[in-house]
Amino acid sequence: MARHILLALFLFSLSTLAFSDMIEPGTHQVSQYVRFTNLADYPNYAFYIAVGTVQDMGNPTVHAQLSNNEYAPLERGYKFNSMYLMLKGQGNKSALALLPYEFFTGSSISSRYITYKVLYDAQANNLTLLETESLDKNFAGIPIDDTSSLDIPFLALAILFAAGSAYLILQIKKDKKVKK
Amino acid sequence: MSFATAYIFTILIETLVLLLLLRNEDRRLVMLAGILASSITLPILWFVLSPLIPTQDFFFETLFLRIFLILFFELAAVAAEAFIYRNIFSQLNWKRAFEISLIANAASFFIGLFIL
Repeated sequence: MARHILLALFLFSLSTLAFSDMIEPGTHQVSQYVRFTNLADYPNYAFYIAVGTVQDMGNPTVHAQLSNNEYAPLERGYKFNSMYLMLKGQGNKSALALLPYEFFTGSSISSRYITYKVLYDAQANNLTLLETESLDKNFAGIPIDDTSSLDIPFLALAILFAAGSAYLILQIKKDKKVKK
Repeated sequence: MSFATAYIFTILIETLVLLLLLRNEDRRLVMLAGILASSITLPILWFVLSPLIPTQDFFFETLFLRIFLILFFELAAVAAEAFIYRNIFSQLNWKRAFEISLIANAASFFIGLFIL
């Protein structure tokens, strides 16, 4: 017994060597989508999703170019990453806007869809984001706020369970009577 | 709270309470009784009786009516479930069936209020 306890303590002490929460950036995918509704208002510019990690020290790398009003998956989004909206345009001047941090701490089993409006001040080279809509969907793609969408399937399940359990109860009682 | 969440929680809580209170009974029967009782009473409470309760728009004006209706409907559910338990477990008398049903329903109601 004492040997088992020692072994358990030894194994437990080894766990301190593991960086349990320090997942390599980009290896843990959370299902999140982002779209920008008014990119067409800035025809001379191109917009990109850029990823900055702890190691990048705020030097983000371009991940994907964005189309106007289409959801883009944030495949590299994780809490140790910073996600940026990057704008490149006239004179190769670029501007950055950081997507809110809370956005990247969402659940792994639900998906989040966020819509932003982009505001760019060319003179100040200032890019800002206005969140206009946020929607969470469950694993089946049903919006989580829309709870009524699961009511009918679960009502059917309840009827099925009621009938099934009633049948099984009768069977068990019958078996008990026969045994007696 | 959705019906799906309420249904899952009600079955889990009430069946657990039944398993604790009816230790001498056949475990299979106890679990099936929990599923049967919740599957019959909750849809009726949820889809038929709950819409009769006034909405919260006029919260203070209808407070007493809301409390009365909730208690009345919950008691109806207790009675219905007691009837089910009494018929499944022949050794239970009516008083004990009501007690068990009341405890199970109170547990699911109050735990539901706190955790959901």
